[in-house]
Amino acid sequence: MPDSSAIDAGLVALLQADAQLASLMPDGVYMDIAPPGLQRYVIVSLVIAEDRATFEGRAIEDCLYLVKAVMLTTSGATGIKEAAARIDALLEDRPVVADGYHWMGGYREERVRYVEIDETDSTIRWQHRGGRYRVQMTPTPTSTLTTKG
Amino acid sequence: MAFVYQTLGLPEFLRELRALPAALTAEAGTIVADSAETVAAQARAAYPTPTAASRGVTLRDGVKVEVVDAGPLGVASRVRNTAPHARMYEYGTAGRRTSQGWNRGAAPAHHVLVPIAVRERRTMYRTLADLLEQRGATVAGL
Repeated sequence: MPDSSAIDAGLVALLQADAQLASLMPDGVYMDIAPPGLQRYVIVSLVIAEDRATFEGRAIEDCLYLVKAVMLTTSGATGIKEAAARIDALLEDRPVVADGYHWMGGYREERVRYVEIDETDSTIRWQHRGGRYRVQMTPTPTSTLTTKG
Repeated sequence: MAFVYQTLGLPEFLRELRALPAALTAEAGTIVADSAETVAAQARAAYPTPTAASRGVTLRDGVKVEVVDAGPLGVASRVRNTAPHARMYEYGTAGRRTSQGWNRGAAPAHHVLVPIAVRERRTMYRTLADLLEQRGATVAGL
């Protein structure tokens, strides 16, 4: 069976490859957590992954990801709205390429938007905006039917 | 040869048909409420145990089940976490500092409540489909 982590990598690579998103969130795209010191970036994290099995093995990997743009707003910079819209344009019904898998579907299940205010200094505010996206992939068949004769 | 068409028991059948949504609503309401309580109980168990240093509404204390008005023929319940830091715990933080101003960095998303709700909702759909099938309906697509 293919490595399920390839789906995570494919999703991150899709977001990283987009020049428009990179211009809005220049600090990059990261899985789970970003390195310290960044101010404008995208976070991808796996919420839940469910497998649908058949007699011949895993048939569908159904993954729900949280994908959000994160931006420090003390600098007065804007772009969180545009970044969330760009994430949506890249993931809604758009294929994810992952080694060993075929893409089946992708769509947003729920919008996510909140502000994180620093407890010590309320002028420090982080905008979080994006959504929970479902990505459905099927392992590429590795066996083929042969005929005798 | 004369052909006679007679409907037998149609008024009774129509009466039963009209009562069916109300009966189903009551039974479905129990299923939905049970599912919401299951989600709440599992979430409380999954959140970290409060310590002596915990202040205010803890993640466990914050889990509430609300009955949502969904009309005369609908049923709905909502599981919410009312703790002020619940959303940040679920979705993660960008940067945090201590009261002394030390940067403690970002916290990853913990994804506690949503995965539990997703799993339980799938079970609930199956149970609701079973209820409909017991009443003669055919449910497809689950």
